[in-house]
Amino acid sequence: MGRPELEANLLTQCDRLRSHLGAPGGPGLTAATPLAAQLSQYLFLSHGTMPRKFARICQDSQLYSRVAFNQHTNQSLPLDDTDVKMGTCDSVFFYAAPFRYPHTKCGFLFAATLEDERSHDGTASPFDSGGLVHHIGFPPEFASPADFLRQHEFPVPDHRNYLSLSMDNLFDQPEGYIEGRAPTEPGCLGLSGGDERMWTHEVRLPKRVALRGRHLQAVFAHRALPAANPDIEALFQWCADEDVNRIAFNGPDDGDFETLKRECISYLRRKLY
Amino acid sequence: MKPTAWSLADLEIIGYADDRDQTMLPAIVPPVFRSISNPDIVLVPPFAIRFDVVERATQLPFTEAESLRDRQELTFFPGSPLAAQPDHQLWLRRNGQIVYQPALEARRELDQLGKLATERAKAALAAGDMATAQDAASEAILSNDRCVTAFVIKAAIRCKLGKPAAANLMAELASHLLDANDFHTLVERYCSEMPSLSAPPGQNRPSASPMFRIATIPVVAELKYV
Repeated sequence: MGRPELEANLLTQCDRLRSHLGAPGGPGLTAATPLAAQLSQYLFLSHGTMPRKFARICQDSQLYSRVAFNQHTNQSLPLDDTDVKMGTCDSVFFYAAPFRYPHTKCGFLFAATLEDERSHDGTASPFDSGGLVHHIGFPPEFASPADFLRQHEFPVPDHRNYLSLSMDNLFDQPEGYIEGRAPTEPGCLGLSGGDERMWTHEVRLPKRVALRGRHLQAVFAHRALPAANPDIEALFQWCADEDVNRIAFNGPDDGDFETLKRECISYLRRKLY
Repeated sequence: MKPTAWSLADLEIIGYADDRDQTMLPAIVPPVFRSISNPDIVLVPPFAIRFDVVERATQLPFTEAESLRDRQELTFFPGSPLAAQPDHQLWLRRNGQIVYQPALEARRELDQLGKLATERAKAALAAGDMATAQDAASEAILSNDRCVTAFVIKAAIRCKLGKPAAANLMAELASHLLDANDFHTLVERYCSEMPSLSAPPGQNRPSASPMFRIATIPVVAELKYV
């Protein structure tokens, strides 16, 4: 899909949301707030992963799409794979949000400027695209999850205009989106049955993303990982030299597997609001 | 409205939300739960387990969990599921063996593994075997991220290799245990007791047993924190 179509989608969905909010009897359209504008503009991109992949990314210094990685290893993806069905398998995935499921040990945050650099080929959607295949319901007028996605795919970084509108109007406070509080107003996308991924902006950048570059904002890991793995240690060392933030946290204790998420939200609070 | 808390009595464990190679083991791993009454419901982290309840888990249909397994985001047990129990910990041994046992026992066993690995690291260091010392110190930290001596040993090796910035990183990683000055004091003491790296194996060792001098360094930090 070309950029004009993506821009048209964005315009349509922003107009729809404004009309929905401002309609007689509707919840009302809130004037744009500086906080939502600031948060939506600067909110970092998260990429959570598992320790083995994390170490490999540190070693390669690249985040590869599944297609790009498989080319590297001469493997192919099955046709019934979620990302193959959605047409997104050649993308590196991010959330414009804190780390989400199922990651608890490590991940990367990139600055929003990464989207500026990839405005020619990046796309975004105001929901998790994979969730549409499995558990998020979408309106019946769309033939398939992929069809729904195509009509709600936005350009980067412009999708952040829709995010700003959402933060101001769908959440109790703009930062509610970041803190993971469910929206108080469902909006007008017609999605149902999902969790926070139903309203979390997903950003997809084709092929590969360089790790050691000016966009890397912070690296999060359970402190044993950089201490024990030489590739992760080397990245932490590079981050120290380049003034990239390193967040090392304690391992899980007493059934608490939320540390990564908590540390990330706490970092976002310190940096953004 | 989906439930936000799940009783362990209705859950079994079908795997864990982690993927790592042997060099990153042992490790405590978050369980992947499946509802007994509705096997299509799978719970994945982040979540908190408070006694007999799982809170704030993400709920997935089983097909989505399978899809996550296929991309190495989840690992399913090869055999039967485990019955979920209150106050239990799921962890993987260095050889990948899965252990699910009372949390207190798990903590004790991991602490013991950490102590044994630290001792092996010290002995290897005294013998000038840096590679073994590194591996054993890694294992100690993975077993128990409060094994301050293992961080010190890693830092001492980096100092000896002329990599002070890498030693500082270890100090940073151990900053939850010891302030930087105390950490570097211990590093210097270990460095001063280490045989020269340029010496061939077997030479330049302490005159008594290989552990004679290193073993006499007071491990104040360990006594205090581990």
